[in-house]
Amino acid sequence: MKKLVAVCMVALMALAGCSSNGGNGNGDTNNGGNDANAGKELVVATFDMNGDFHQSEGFGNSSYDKNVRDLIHGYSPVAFTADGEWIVDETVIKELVKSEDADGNTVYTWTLNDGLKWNDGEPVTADDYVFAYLVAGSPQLVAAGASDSTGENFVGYTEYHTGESDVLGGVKKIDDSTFSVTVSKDKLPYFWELSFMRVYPYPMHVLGADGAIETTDEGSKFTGDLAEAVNKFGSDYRFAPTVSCGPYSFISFENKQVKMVKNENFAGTWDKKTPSIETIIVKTVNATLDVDMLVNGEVDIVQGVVEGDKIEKAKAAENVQESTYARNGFGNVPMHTDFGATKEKEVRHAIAYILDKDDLINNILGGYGTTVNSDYSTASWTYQAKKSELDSKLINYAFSIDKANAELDNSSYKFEADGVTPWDVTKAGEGYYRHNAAGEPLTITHLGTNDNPVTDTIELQLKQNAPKAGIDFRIERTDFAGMLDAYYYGGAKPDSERKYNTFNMATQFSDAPDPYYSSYACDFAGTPSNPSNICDPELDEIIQRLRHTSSENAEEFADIWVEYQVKWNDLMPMVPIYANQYYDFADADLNGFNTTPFASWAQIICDMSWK
Amino acid sequence: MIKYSIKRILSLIPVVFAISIVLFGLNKLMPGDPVAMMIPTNTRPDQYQMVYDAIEENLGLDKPVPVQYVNWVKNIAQGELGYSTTYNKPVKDVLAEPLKNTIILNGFVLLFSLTISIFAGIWSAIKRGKFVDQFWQVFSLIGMSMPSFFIGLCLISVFAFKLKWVPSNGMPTDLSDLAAWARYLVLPVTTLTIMSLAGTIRYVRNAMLDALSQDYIRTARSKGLSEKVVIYSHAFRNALIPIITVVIAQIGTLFGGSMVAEQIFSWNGLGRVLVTALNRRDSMTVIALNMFYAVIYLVSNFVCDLAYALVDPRIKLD
Repeated sequence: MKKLVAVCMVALMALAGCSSNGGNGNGDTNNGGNDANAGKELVVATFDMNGDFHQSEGFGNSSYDKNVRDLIHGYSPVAFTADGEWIVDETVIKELVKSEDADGNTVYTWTLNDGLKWNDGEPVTADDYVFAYLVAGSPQLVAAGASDSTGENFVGYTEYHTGESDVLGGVKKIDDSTFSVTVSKDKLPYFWELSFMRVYPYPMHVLGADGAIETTDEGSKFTGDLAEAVNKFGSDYRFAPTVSCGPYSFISFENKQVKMVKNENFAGTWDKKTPSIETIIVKTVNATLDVDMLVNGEVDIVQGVVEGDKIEKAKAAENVQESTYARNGFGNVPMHTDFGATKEKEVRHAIAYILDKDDLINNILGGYGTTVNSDYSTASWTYQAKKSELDSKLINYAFSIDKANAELDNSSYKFEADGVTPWDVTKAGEGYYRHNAAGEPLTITHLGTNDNPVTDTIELQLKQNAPKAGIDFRIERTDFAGMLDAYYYGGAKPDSERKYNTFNMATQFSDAPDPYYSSYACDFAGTPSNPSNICDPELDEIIQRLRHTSSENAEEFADIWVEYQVKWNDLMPMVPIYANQYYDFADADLNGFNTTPFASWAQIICDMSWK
Repeated sequence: MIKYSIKRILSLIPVVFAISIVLFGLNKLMPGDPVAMMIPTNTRPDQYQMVYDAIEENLGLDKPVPVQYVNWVKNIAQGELGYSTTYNKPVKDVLAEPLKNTIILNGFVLLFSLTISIFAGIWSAIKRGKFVDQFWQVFSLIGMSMPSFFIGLCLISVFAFKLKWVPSNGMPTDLSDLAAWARYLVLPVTTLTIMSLAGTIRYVRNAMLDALSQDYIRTARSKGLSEKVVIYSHAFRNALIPIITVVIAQIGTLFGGSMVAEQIFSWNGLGRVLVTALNRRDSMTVIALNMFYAVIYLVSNFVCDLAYALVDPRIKLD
């Protein structure tokens, strides 16, 4: 026994020691030095992965998986550039013809370029695109517990999606390299019109080999077993999409890390670039150690760093390069605007005033961030175009107890507990809170997440500042799942089952940042698409004008966008508390590492190469 | 012993059922809607209810709780542990790889900690009051008083970032490379071994001191037996019973995972899966893991009782 134990111990130590490569210590092929860069694999740090690598986000939209999806899927007819612009991808599309049908709907006829191939060598055809629309919009996908809005604006979508028809009217295969989609006339104009066309082809020869696409004047249908195709997609393909057409091919997902190799059949990005790095590993690491690992040479890229101390450490390292940009989103304190005291706009304004955003940015982000006063990112082109006008029109919610009190004096909460005597600011302090005429105290109950420095800072600030404005501020904590549940689904519950007025969350703008779908439309009040339950007819009207501006009228769009921001800023359904300055860091030996607010390292992979 | 074993196994069945009812009931009392958690927040409102209903039906959550429990037990009997709402796939698929990793990690920890603790414990007992004894006493005290994350971070700082001998955390990128596995194992195994040693060394030492003070040891020495024979054949064998308790208890941890260490070292083991599942309210994964741990500990205790009888002829199991 002793001998066996000794042998095991020696074996482990010997294995660990004898093949140590001294440099980065991880023993993989990730050595430094230019000579070693030929064929060197790129190791990217991530903090988690679900392992869901389907083209759509139907079964889940984990942001951790997104980079992998961006690497292995491709050939959408339209592309979203690193500058935040929607364009037709001319590497994929030979010709786009836009026309109008007899009913006034808009028909887009797409002709694919010759020679597009899947990574297994099979040709990419119009069938694969039509098949993707048919799977994404199918009731069978819903029955599998997934949702996908691809094609939702096309003629005949509702009938197909609800199972009323097995033919999708707005999608037609014309020949092997040509297909058309018809957008309902009531959906246009739409500012992000090309985003309607984003679809990634599904490999029909893998998922739907038992059938074919049959197109008639009525539309298209799949002649095989669509439920079986959905089943293959949902239970197999999305976990291991080995047949794909993006710049990289999926090899494996084991132990929370993905291995991908260059797809030799990839025709290129919209700007005709192909990948040069042979192998990419995306591996899960300890989030607190990511920058140390980069400096140590264990990984080659870390992304989205926001902590001041980590940024300083990476900046000081000679073997590390940086790419920095304003976050396309912001951290915020959203409010349920239909519940308790936060129903009143003046109360929401007051909360915005008593949150010291500058203090929060300094404490949490080490100064690497800024504040915004409405629903925008400083990275957006509209902000860049309208910055001075916007700044002059928006209420600036810089920290001010006096302004908070002035707002609250205009609210119903301006009395002492008797509901008659005016609340006196000179008596402000713990226990002396504002009340309304009915004698109800001004109580704000905040829900934050555990072990979260933002929650800690909010608690510190508001415990101190809120009583000065007569607000009885209370805070509770939960895990992230509990927070999502209370914020997104709390609004649908009766008031007797609700407790929280405010939360701390963060928001990220999508590639088509339509406010109708992203939180503020009356149509969706009380649903996860409008969790704040804000419903303002004037805001609704502006949102509709905004989204239905033609994509060719950018100037008009920007003017309406300012109107929207001013209205939002006044309604204040959520308090933007910080807009991070994001830092992506990479091995200094990487060329072309220029990430942007709109393009992660995965989306610019074809720009990158080893020196 | 066979009769005893059958009796014990039969008695475990109602215990397992009782645990399963408590776990399932507690899970149902947890706040939060697992179906809602599965639906991407960007789901269009007009699709939301349809998707919700489909998931609820697919998972059987539209049925009354007692029916859900019965279905769950039936599925468990067929080897189906439920469906993970976090990973959107069967729980058994979620757990297979982490289980293997946890066994590998804790297998080495068990091996090293038992080997070192037995020898160090015996050595301490023999050299009672001397430097060696004091060294291991202080070592144990430090090991017991320092949290594992602190030990782990210290080791990472020195051996990964300063000396660059081993990787700091994560799993090897080439999973077929045994040498890479070994390198990635060094720090988590060392951390957990230090944590484990702290308690077991003291345990072995005390058991040995107790055995060495017995009359039969004096008799053995007076008969002129060599010190080696006295210690290993007489004292150690009699100290085995308390040691076995510790050993068997540690076998339970072989499967139990080491939540903190697996988080620090990004080791894809059961402990990490459990933390993620708890954070995301992935109830089926949490229940499956807790049931698994409960069964493992029940079986460990049973094995422990059998082992007593094997090493000590005075113990009869009837």
